[in-house]
Amino acid sequence: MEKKKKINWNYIALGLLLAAYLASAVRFFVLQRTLGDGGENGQRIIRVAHWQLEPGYREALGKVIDDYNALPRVKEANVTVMQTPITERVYSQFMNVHLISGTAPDIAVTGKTQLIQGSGVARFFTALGEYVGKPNPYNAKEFTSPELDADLRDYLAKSPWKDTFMDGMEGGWNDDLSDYYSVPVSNFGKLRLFYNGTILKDGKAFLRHNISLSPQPEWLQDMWIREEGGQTFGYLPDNQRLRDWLANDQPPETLGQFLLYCNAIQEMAVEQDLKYLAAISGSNYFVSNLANLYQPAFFSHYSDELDIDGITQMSGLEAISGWDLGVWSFNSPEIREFYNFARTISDFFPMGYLGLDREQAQRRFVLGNAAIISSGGWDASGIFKGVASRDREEDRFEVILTPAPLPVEGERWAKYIPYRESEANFKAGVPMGINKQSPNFDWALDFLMYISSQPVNESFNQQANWLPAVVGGKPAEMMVDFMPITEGFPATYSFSPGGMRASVRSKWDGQSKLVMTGDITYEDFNEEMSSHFNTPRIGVKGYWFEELLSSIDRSRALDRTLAVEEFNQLVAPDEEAAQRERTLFYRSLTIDDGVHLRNMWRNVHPGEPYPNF
Amino acid sequence: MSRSFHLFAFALVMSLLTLFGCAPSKVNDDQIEVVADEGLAALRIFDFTSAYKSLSRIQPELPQTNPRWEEITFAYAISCWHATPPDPEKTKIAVDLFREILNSDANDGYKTLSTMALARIKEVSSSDGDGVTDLEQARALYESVQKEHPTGKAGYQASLRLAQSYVQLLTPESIQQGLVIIAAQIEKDPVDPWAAVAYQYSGDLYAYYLNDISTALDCYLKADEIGMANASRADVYLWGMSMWAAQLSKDALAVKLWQRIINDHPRSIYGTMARDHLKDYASSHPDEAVEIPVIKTW
Repeated sequence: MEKKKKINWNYIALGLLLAAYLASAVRFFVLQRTLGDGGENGQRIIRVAHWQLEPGYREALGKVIDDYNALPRVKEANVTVMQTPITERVYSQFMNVHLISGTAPDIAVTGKTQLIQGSGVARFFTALGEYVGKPNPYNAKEFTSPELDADLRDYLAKSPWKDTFMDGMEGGWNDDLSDYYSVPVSNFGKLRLFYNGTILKDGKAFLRHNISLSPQPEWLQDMWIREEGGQTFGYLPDNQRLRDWLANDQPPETLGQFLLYCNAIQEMAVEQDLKYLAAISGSNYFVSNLANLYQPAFFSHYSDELDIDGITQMSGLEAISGWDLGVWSFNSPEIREFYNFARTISDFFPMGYLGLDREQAQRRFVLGNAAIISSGGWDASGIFKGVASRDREEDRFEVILTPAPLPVEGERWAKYIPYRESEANFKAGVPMGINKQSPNFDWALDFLMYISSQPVNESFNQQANWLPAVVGGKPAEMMVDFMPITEGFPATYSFSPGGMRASVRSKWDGQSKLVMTGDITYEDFNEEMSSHFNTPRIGVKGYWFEELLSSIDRSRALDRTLAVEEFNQLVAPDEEAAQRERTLFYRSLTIDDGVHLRNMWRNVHPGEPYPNF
Repeated sequence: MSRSFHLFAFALVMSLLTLFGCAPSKVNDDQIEVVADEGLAALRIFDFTSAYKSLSRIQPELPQTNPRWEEITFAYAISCWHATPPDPEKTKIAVDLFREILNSDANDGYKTLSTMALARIKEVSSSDGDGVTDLEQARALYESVQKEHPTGKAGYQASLRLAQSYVQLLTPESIQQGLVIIAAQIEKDPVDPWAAVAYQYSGDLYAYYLNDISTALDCYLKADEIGMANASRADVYLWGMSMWAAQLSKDALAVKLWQRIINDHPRSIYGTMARDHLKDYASSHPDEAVEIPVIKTW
């Protein structure tokens, strides 16, 4: 009998591997031909990689690129700029592979990539310090609008490039290397509340009706602030300020009004059988959990007592050391009240909100199933466009933006939230760096100057619905509310679980979520956290130990940077580098091999040996 | 030929070399410049590994008569010293190279930096990978630089490092000794920009090591006159100084510093707090007509 021929699967697998290899090699070859001095016609292609896939951003960048490519001198040089948008999830891997293989795009948004942390950025991206001190030629008067203020036009034309950025180009500054390594081209904008205008009208009408009832419904009576048995209940007083607000069509102006409004939405949903309506579209996305916006204010009350290193930036170590020294505890009123507040806020989120992601939260709001969502300027365009593109006219609604409201005197938590966090030191975002291996450095730099010139940056960000990064740039109308609010307390006054080392952060984050959702009691939370902090290797003592190791690493990294800077200064001295050297030397002195930490330990634990594991 | 072809050919050759265990061939005399430039370029971008790979191919055979000997030798020494992770073998090579520079006819700049590097290796526990320090030797080397360069950058760097070698013992006496060394250096050369670094560091020692904010404030005020070492954080320093001034009841100074935070640093996160302090002060001293600047908004 003739034997049936069997398929050898190994050969098929081998064939597939070979085919994949060939496809990859061909693609590599084709890509290579477009790099450098390009193909046969001498065309130079400059690629711009970024992960800003929010609606409108790519289109706006595309328009800038088209305009740039159409400039006579660019056309004459046969230069073509192209964008390479890459999803955030794989951006880091993409850049890592291409930076190492030498095939990375000429321009790329820095950050995300682990490879370029610390001084690593200098390996792959070009330092721009020598260029940022000169004026940006695209800010010359021939390019700026005559309608601009004359002084501003003059300023833009004459000022160093870095001084034409709203943040003084801090978004492109690398502290480890004391130099500029990227050019920020957009502003994210800060966190704001988005209100559904239709629900706002309905909700306030519902409130007006209920407040006029006699007797008022029980849920409404529970809103009025009162002391019972030494405890505070309710959120605000029924006063003229409230009545005035109820009479207008504005969103809540105070935290008390906000909490009243959220409760009213919940009651309205029950009464009108609006099963999917949530007061706030919360999710596991950090910024859509409104409680996180207020947390720094609650935790800011210990700044003076926690400062043990003399540096105004409060560190995780100072925070946990403060707990150890009894400056604060999980029973401190500020901390306990924050969790009460957070628990109250999370009651306004949809059921199972921790299982919802950023997109789901946005969709709920856009579909009209939430009265409020909190997010940043980067989501504004998506939300506005989503709402405007609803199929039915009656489903569309006005979106109203406000900062998160503060409590006023007489309202619950007023003494714990005296200020909001200052937004004065914002940094512009989407920092674009030039790949060190780019054979088109001059053109890449030219393009970055073009996109960061006042007129181009303004129109680019207006179209993208982001905030401009350059002074004199007017934002799109919908973005005006995202402009930084300079009033407030310094972020450096506070601490948060997110600012701690991983061993504490993950525990604190996890436990916080459980207590906010009511899955564990506050007493259990307190016990769990205290026990964690007391565990030697992962708690307070372990924290000191880990900080020392990090400090020694930082000290060594500074020495490495200093050694090179000193060598460069010897070979080719220049004043800017000399200033950089002094800064680095001072930082090296203050950190020096963890001496400052040992001094801090000595101050707070005199006579005790530094923790060692 | 296209760049891709070159890349492919290079990868193939390197793979074959790796496969057959061959080391890169020795460098011909006419290639020295190219390899040296590669190594120096790598070093300038903090790529110590590549710098080491290139420079180790040429430096050991390089005669001191080569016009680039001191530059290449010093760069090679740095790439050995700062190898990641720290490698005692490479640190030993670095020490030998720095010593070779000191015994050569190299220019004074290289000799000074080599002495400072040798001292730092002795001073810092993590430098040579074995956690051993020799503070006495480190101090002797810093002192030799001080003697050679009583003023200027080298003098300041040596004095500050020498002071730090005492401060790290963390006894009141050793901290005071460090401060004396710094003060002597400032007295010798009070106008150098490095004096600001010295004043700031002294201020830190007084405030956080000796709990003397009054002297710390004086030091910081002098650093401010010269120009702070870390200018990008000037508003943070001004805020710290204003808090010290307030604590010491130097009201006029505190007011001036709060006004400067608002006027000179409109993006400072301390703006609101500075303004509120001014408001409090103005309301408690109505006859002084304190100016309260407006915080700039965007």
